[in-house]
Amino acid sequence: MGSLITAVIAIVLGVGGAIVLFWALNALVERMPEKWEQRFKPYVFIGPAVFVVGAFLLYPAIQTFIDSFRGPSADEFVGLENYQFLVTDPAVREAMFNNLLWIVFVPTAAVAVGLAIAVLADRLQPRWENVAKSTIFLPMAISFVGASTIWGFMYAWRPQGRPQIGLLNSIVTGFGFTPVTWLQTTPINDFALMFIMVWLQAGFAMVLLSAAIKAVPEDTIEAARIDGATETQIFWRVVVPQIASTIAVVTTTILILVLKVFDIVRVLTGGRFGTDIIANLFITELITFRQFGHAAVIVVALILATIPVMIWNIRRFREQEATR
Amino acid sequence: MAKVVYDSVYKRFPDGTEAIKDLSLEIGDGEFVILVGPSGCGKSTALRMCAGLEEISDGQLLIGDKVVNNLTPKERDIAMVFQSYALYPHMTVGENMGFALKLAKVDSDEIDKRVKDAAETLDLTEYVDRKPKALSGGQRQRVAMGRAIVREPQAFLMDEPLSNLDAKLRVAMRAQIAELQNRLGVTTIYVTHDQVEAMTMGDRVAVLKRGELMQVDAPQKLYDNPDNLFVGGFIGSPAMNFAEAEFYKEEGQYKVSVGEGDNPTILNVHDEAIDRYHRVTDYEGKTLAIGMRPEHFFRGNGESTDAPQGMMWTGRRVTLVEQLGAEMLVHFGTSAPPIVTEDMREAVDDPDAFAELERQAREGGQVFTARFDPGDPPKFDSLIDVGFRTEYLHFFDIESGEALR
Repeated sequence: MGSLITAVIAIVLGVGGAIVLFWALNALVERMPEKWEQRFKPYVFIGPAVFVVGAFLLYPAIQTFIDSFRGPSADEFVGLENYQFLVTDPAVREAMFNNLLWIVFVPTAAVAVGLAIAVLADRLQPRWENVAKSTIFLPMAISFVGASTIWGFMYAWRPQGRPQIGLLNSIVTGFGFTPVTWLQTTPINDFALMFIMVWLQAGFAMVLLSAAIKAVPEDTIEAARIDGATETQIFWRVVVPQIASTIAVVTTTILILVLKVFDIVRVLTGGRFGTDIIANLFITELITFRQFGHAAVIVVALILATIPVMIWNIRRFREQEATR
Repeated sequence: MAKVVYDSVYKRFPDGTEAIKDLSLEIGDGEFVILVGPSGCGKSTALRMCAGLEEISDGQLLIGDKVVNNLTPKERDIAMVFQSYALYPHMTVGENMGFALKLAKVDSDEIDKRVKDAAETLDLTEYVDRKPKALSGGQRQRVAMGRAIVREPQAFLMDEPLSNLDAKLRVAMRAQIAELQNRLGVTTIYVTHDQVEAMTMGDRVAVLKRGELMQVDAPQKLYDNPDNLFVGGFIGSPAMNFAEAEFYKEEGQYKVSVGEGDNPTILNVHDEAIDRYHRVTDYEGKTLAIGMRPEHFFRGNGESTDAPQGMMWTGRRVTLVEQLGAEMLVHFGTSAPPIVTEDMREAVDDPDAFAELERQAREGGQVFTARFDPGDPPKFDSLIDVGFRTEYLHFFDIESGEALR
């Protein structure tokens, strides 16, 4: 109850404070001579936002960058030592390799599965299409931690001879094979973890791609049919090019999500058995080992990795706006 | 190039409605046939069945001498121009035109050559490398034409290809398509709801109503000799005026009496009209429908009430004058009872206009449209005398709508 009241007060104070701030600044500016008023007004309105972004986003980013040149408790300057750690440490290398694997595999698989389902669902009767799409979309509503727990049971392993509580191992032993340690054997465990992400994101991809496919003019498909295209050719040469921009949006969205992936690995393996990824490594360095310098350098690496994706994304967005 | 034959073709939808009923139509090699009719008459369905985009429920469709009922669009070797043009937005103009050839694995030099030729023919050379998005409506329409031309197909199928263009461009493209078809000599089926396109472009016009073929004929013949009330009412703009009339003979002269009350308008029917509609004599003393084209009215001057054969509406109130430059349309009120049948509903092809006709019918009268030479327009709400040249009178049975020929 107490925390609820605190939350309400926080919202009222926060929103109310912002309103009061803008109102007061505006009143102040309006008292100035006309010429000054016009000059200052834009800054009055954009200023607070710039300040907030600067204080809570830019400053920590810069501080992190500075910390990446500092020692374990971020007090003394250690030069490029942390960067040396970044390029030489086997744990970092493993995490980076795994992240790369995630980046390549998850968006591709999620988009492929989403696209396949969107195309197939499109051919169903509207009622069944909705049922199928809702079912596939459902995992989107589950949090990463929740999904990880669910899949933890799916992948659960018990020694041979004991009753298997995991669905997958029940099936495996049911067919007379020895149970598989899904989460402990490399590289099966990597893909087992990635599959959870695909399961979560395929629905998202499917919904956007399905809408895009429905927006492809039926006429162009019929025209292609008359032009002599087979159904496969129509799909690859008429439908896919027309939904290319949606495919790009979905891919980059999932890609950025994957760059930040943390929960799934944290919950199921904690980064052990060769499944570590950058975000988890960062937490481990920061919380477990209290190596602030190492943690900072990992974040810097992650930001640097995201920048090209963001640039590409913005550029593509601008191009799209230009052709509109 | 080949002939296209519809042989008792039916289109039934799963819910049992028949979009096309017993359509039999032979389109000769190189012929340009227009399919026309009110909305929902099945003209597009008929075309799409030929394209292979709609299944044929019954009957046979032949292209050349081959039954194509079960062939895919690809195997039929036809080209289609869509109302929306249906250009591939991700391909350039050249790629759009060459797509079919590329799929058919035609040699790329050959594709280039044919695309270049088509682009030249259609004045698109400078746009070949542009995407459709960067083109105007008229240019897109020409690309759609180009896509059909490069194929050198057995037949062109066109589904209202000009209806998305503005009026001026439509006139230009109308001429261009007709000229192109003439030059290439490709069998063409052209669907439209536009009167002028139907009249000007084709060798023959096929008029459909609710999935049934009503009449096929050369445009002028169709206009002059409609087989039934529907065709008479649908073809021609402004439309033919229809009225219920008593047909009788008096002192050796056939006459029609139009309108109610003590003072009906009596028209002496010209012998030529009787010659053309010889079955009309069976209707002596009966009620029938008469049809009057707007251009066959003439202006009276009040004094000549006994003008040629006494066919005159005197003292009619002018409800609207449209001056179109080369001609003048005068709408005037009459007491003539309108025809309110299913045929008329289809011919009018506009629920609001038909509702207005029904309203007029209840009030006992209707507005006629006459087409006069321009000059000296009557004033709105003034009274005029209007005569009709009864040698051009049309006669139909009210119930069946059949022309009494």
